[in-house]
Amino acid sequence: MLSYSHYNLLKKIAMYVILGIISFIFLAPFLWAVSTSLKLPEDVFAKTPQWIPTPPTLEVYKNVLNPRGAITAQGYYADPFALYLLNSFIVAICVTAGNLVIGSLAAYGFSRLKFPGRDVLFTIAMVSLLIPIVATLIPRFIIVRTFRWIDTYQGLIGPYIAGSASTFLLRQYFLTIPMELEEAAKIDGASVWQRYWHVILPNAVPALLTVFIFMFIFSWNLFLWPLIVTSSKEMRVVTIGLVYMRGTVFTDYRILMCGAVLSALPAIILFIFLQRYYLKGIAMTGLKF
Amino acid sequence: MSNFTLRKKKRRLGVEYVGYVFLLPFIIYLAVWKIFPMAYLSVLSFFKWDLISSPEFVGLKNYIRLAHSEKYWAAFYHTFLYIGGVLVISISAALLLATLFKGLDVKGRTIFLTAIFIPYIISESAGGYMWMWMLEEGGLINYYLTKLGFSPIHWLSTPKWAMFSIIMMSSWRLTGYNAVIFFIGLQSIPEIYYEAAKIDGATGFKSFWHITLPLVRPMMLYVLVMSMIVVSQAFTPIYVLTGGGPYGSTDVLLLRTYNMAFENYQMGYASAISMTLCVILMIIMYIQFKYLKPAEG
Repeated sequence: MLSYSHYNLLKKIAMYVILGIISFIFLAPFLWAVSTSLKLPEDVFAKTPQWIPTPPTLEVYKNVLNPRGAITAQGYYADPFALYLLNSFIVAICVTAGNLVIGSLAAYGFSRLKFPGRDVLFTIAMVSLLIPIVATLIPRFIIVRTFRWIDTYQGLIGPYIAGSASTFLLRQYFLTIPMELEEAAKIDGASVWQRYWHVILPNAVPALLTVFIFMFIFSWNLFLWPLIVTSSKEMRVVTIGLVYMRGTVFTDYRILMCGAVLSALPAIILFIFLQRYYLKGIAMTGLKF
Repeated sequence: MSNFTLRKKKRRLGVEYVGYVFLLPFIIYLAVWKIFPMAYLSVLSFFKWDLISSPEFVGLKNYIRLAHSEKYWAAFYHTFLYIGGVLVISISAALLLATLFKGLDVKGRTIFLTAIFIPYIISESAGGYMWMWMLEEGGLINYYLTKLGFSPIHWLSTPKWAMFSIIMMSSWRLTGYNAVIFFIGLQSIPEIYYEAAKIDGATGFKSFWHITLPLVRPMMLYVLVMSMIVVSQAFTPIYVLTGGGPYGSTDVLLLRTYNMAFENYQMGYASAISMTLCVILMIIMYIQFKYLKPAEG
């Protein structure tokens, strides 16, 4: 006869097994890509799929990360993936920095300062969140073209340098910082800028980290805009770079999977470290990025 | 009012006009990159322009053209097929997963949550190529399929299966995200409800049906609408996996717009297509405001 505690234990084990299987299924495409990228060329199309490559090798990674580009099976130099990673990184850092600076400045104005029209402007900003991506694509392209920013970092970063979502998130958080802290600073004669820099910002670190992780991953994964705005391989970001790793007739999947894994890794690592903040961001805004 | 009283009034009310300076970069950003583009698009949709010659006013010609275009309506249909598929799968799976979550301790929760969220963190581009590899003729999925006794399927080159594959990949990415949202929402349902139900003898499934579902409805509707807005503007999965083929069976509205604008340089016509997609989204948003406003408890 099973006792109650035995039953509970069995239930727990069953739960873990089921969730373990589900987790594996969710991670399967990624794990399979990793596995493929670590195999020897002969093993890639083996009859029975091997999940763990018995001679795992990092040769594809060394090849792909070669600054001059990977050497493909046909013996050609493919595009420099390391440069793509760098471009993605530059774009992501600038977009994130821009959102943090412009967003926190605006959030401070919206939450802590009183001036005529403030709430009207905030409503307009929030309504702009509803503007769909499709509505801005073509015009943004034409604007960037007019600025002669096609195929430049400015062009890539411009439309994403700030955002209503970041501003909203930061404003909501700023509102929760107790007024007394600022009052005390005011009495000590602090100017608005000093209050912003010395009082609000240090107390808003969790929110700043949330915006950081949100916007970094978002901009790192951008595809359509970089596709529209860049044309040369020097300006390519990693998401677009993957498109070019596909051959017209034959695709070397080892190289492609290596690229896919490399492009996903920074985001995954950042997410694992700053997970708490990313989830807090979802909880606070429920927005989709 | 005299200068003196004005100053007194300002100091008393604590108006800090420097606020405008704080807002300035953000307002400029909004004007340049969001508000002006929106207005520009609607105007451009009434013109014909190839970026080289000067724009030519054509009135409603673009709209008439797309109304008669077979490819436009095919894209329209595929867009909604895609939305329907992705939402049904990702939302129901997410709800189920979120309910399973509750039985876990904190440590297990974090690991499980991370595992199912990672597909969302992986870009649509990288995720798409990972799926492309799995869906290969001699690939992983066909291997297991043949082991189960079925014949291998040409996933991405058969019109029947191409859209299905894309829907599966997108659902794979979105389920984890939705599950997290639901989980956060489920946390707000007091345990007392479940305890009370247990006393009355309700089993796991029954309490899910009678307690969880009704209380989760407002959140579910919100997630539904937000997902609809995001998913209807899908581009990358289709571009990466099929490019709209085979034989246009996976062409969606945003891909149509992209091809018209950046492959054919018909900016006016592409703008008109974009406008129709905007109108669809506005209708969806309007439905949200109309039917979601009263959030029942």
